[in-house]
Amino acid sequence: MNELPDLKKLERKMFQTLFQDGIYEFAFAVLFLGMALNPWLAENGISKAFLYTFELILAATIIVLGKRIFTVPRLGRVKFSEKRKKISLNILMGGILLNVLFLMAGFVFQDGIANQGNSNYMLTILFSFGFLLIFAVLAYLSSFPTLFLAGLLFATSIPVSEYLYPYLGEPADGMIPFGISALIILALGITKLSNFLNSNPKEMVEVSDV
Amino acid sequence: MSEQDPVNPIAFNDIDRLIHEPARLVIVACLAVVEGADFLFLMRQTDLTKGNLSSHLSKLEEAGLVDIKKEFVNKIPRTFLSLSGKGRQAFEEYQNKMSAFLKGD
Repeated sequence: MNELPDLKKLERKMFQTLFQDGIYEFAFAVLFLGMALNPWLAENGISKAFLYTFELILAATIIVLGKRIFTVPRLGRVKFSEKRKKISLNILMGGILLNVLFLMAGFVFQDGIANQGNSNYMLTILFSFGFLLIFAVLAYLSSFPTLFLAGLLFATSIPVSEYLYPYLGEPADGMIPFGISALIILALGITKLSNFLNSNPKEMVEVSDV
Repeated sequence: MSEQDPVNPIAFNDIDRLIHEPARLVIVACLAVVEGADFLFLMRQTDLTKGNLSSHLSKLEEAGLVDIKKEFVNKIPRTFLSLSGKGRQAFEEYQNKMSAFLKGD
């Protein structure tokens, strides 16, 4: 051995193994599916607030149960350093805050434009690009490339939905792009999960004899 | 190491051979970047077999570099491993000495 291990790279690689199970992709698929179906469900009398809350809880449940049922028995348990925990928490909180602020800004602008009776396609694209940028930064900081894919699908679905609106009207305009996005991310999740299950057999008994 | 390389035997003899062994170096490096991990996680990360990993861990534990705790998770016994204070210090010293040695100091 003629060189020392790069500890930063090693820690990053170990952290990335937590994302190889595809569980987060399933959670994202639920959120995208929600965005596709919520306008239709809302038309049928279900409150949008209830739907979004339900989908968030469902996505969180998928992550918790998925990790417990699939990941931990196959990959084992690890406690990362306080520094990593702090970074992850900051990324999560920063990501949520930025997205909420950006969504609010988007709704405010959209309403303003709608009140003026105009449609500003460029603003939608700019808004989508901003989202993509946020997700790209979050993906880089968290070492989780699916975040970028989710951002890309979301950023693409918004202008496509607006483009389809005059032809299809609501709720079909959103159902198609967000539905396709959900299917793409679901397919990725299924692929990752099946690869993970194949390469990491479940350990039913204690493996250590130390 | 080729014969032409200038080697300082005194500096090299100073290197901790317990950590320097490749499999143990990987184990110690993996444990150094986390607070701790269970046996299964370490086995997956290092690609070592169960027997190999157990034997290296026993040596590291004997030297006081690794702390081993047995615990139950969902009624399944798990072995939780972490680098001891002595282990972290030894690994830091090993890194310093090796980088000095590789630089030819």
